[in-house]
Amino acid sequence: MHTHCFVIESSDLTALLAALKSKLSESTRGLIVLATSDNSWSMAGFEEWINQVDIPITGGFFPGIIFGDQSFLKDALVVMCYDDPIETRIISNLSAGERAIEKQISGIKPKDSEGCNALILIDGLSQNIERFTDVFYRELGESASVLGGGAGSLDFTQKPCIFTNEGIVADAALIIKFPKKLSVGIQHGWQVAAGPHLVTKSDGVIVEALNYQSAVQVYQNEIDAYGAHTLDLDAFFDVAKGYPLGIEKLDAETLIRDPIKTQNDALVCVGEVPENAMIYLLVGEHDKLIQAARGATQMAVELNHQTASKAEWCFTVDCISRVLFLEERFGEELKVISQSLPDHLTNVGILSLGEIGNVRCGPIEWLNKTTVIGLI
Amino acid sequence: MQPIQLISIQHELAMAISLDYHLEPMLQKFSKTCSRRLGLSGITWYLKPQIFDSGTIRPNHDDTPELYLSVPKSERFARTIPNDQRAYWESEGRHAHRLELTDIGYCVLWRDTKAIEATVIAALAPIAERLSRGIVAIAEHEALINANNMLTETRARLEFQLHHDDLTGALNRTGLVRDLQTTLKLATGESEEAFGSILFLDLDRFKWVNDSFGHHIGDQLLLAVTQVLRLVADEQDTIARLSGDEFVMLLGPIWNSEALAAARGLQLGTRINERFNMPMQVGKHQFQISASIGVKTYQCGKDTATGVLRDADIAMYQSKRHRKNRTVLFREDMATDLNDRLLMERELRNTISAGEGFTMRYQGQQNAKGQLVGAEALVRWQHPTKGELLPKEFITMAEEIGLMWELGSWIVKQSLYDIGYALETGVPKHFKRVSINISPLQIEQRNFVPWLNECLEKFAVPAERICLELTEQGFVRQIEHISKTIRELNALGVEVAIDDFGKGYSSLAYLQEFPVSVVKIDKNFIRGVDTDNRARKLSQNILNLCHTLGLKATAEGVETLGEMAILQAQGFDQFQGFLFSKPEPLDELIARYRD
Repeated sequence: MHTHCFVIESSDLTALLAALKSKLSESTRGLIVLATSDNSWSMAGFEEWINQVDIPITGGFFPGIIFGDQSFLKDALVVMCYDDPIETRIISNLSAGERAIEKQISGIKPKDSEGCNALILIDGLSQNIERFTDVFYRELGESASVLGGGAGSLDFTQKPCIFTNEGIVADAALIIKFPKKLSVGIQHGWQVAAGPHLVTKSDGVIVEALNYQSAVQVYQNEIDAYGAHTLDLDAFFDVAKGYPLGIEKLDAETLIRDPIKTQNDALVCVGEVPENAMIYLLVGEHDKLIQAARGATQMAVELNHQTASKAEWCFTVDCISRVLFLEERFGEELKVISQSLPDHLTNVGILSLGEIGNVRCGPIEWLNKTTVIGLI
Repeated sequence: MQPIQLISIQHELAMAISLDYHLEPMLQKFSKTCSRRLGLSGITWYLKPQIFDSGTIRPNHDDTPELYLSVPKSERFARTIPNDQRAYWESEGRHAHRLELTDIGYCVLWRDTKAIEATVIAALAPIAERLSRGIVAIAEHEALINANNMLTETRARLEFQLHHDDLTGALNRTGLVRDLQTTLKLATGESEEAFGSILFLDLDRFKWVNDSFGHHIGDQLLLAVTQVLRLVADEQDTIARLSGDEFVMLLGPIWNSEALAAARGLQLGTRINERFNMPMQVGKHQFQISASIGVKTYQCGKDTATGVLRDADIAMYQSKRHRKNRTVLFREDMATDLNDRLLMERELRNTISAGEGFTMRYQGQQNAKGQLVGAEALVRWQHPTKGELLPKEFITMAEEIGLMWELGSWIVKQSLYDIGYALETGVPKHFKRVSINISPLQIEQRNFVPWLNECLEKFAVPAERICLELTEQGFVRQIEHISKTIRELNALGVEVAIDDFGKGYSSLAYLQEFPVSVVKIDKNFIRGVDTDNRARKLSQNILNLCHTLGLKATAEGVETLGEMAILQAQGFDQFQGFLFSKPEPLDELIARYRD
């Protein structure tokens, strides 16, 4: 499968599309387009283009995109060109619930024993993302190799962000299937600072009680006790972005859940926190996070070495919150990823609202604040 | 591994056991929690089938666990289970831990990268014990639920059967009355005035279809009719089949005036009539069915179900009486008509059972030379107040009230008496026989031929002196039996004629199929033969056909000399009509020709 990719920056949609067209070769049979959700383009114009273009096209709008060791947050596209057709499937109306998702996913059957190998781009602000990952794991999880991330914008307003030639949609997941197994590495680098605490009452993404006490109170006490910050509930996320929760797993990194706001005595997280789970308060250190990105890349490269197939590129799904946390040092994270890759591999990817990956130990998960590296 | 971590694993997994009251969802949820917590790549569940029988477990029962569930779905997991009961093995790069579920089976925990620590596996033992109990409890619960569901379904089925028609799935009478009563009570006290209407629909000629083609075809026709009603009805309209060919449609109550409800009822009824104008295909048969429809409006909180149904029935009856395939709105005076009809039925019943009140009249039949060759016996009812009534005014009623055999017997016996008397007193030289109309119900009787023979002997009338006239309708029922009966009658010497040929369901096949001797061509084919070229050609063709088949042809309803001249020229064998003879007593007819 011959491929090539490129990045284009322009605030003018016409110029952007003209540049894109000029870079396409005649042999191109399919495009994966990663776009910044912060842009100056007319969405109607963009949709008209994808409706009219005669090449199968698929992709999404993200808080940021990655090309090489650079990230782009506005008016940019990364285009991955394939000389063979790309097999895609849209799972729509995620908010309709598990049964509706199951009905759509059960129609996808892996063609061979290799299982389902896929890049998943999902509306990161949909309800039921974890119903999607649950069903995907249940139906196709055996031997599946997947990575993916949440599309959308940092204003946290849900709008159409996933596209195919049919148009731009919200509340949907796009499954882009690949013929070969993906080598996936996942790490976040956040460290345990306090805990454990028992989740004594939770409902989906809302953690109401820890150790039978107000979740907010326990969380606030722990941050205060850690000593670096004081949690002001009126500016909750300013501090909370540096203190995620980690759900304990056996023999693996904790699964991160990012508290983004409070609701009375409850913490509202990105991602569900199961009742009766054991959780920790996590803290981040820049070096440890960057080191984790390297670790995730090395894990993917090592896995790829164990397989006979040669990867064509590296796809990075890096949480946008890592950009916010690492600030000016985020460039280092992308650099270590690129440096850890074999020379022939180009790194492309997204800065996402949540990540998807199948860790080697455990089911396919909806992740927060994590780096997921996939060699495709 | 710290003790707190082991305890937390135990706690989280133990709590995950009771996340659902249904087994598969519970195991799915438990598997998800377990996979996430223990870093598993999957879990497969093997359970003994007996737990699903009734939810009960017999300890140590020799029952091999079978694959119940794999999370995620995987054939590979199932393929790699060793036959022995080892607690740990490796397969295709995966680590497998078998966890025994006391008495009910086991599960296998699959893990990539590395095996689960022994201390963790040990900590899972009490979880497995609890899980076993949980699974048994859920299985018992599900067995109970299933039994309860079966009971509920059975009740629902019985309830449905109680209120629905087995054949069409529409409501039956009980269901309709229930719904109508509910509807009539609905708006009581709620709104100012709410009106609706019901359509009482009776299929015309359905009995004939059933009798002629069998119940199987009749049932299919009813299904087709139900389908038509569903198509023309609005979604909220109720359709019911009361019995046989009677349907009711309940409309509303969504109108605030009686006039609107009546208009909607009439409009829908007319649409149904129009739809029935088109032939209806049932299997390889095509039927031109029609419906007599009565409409009655109702007012919620005022009318009763019994009254509304009765009045709609009366309106339907009026529709059927006057002209078929039309819709009639109930009027109060229709009830009076019904009472008249009921009175007449009672009088007919009394007259038949008394054997008094009927008389026989005879209409002469002559040959081309103008000689009296026979006569048709025609019954009259001397009604005390209405005067002399013709057969068309009471024969159908006699059939409907189930007294046709009795009336038919009286007609045969009285005719034989009259013939016997005429033969004794002398008939014209060329007079051969008297024709007696026989109802299909009579000839279908298994002992009809012996009975007729007995009557002939009793009245000393030779069999050759009578002809039995059967309408075409009589031929399409029980074809084999009728054919056999006609052959027996022929053997006896009795002539059999097809009466009113061309009037109803005409089939030339009958002419060939049944051993009849005479075909009486209906007056519709005779009328206008002297003035209408087409009529003349038609009568000629029918006559030719009869002669080709060796049948005699009688022209019925001859009324003018012009018709007679043409029919004579065409070669008809016999003629009957007001031109020569009006129905009169046999002795008077004979005397007239003798003179």
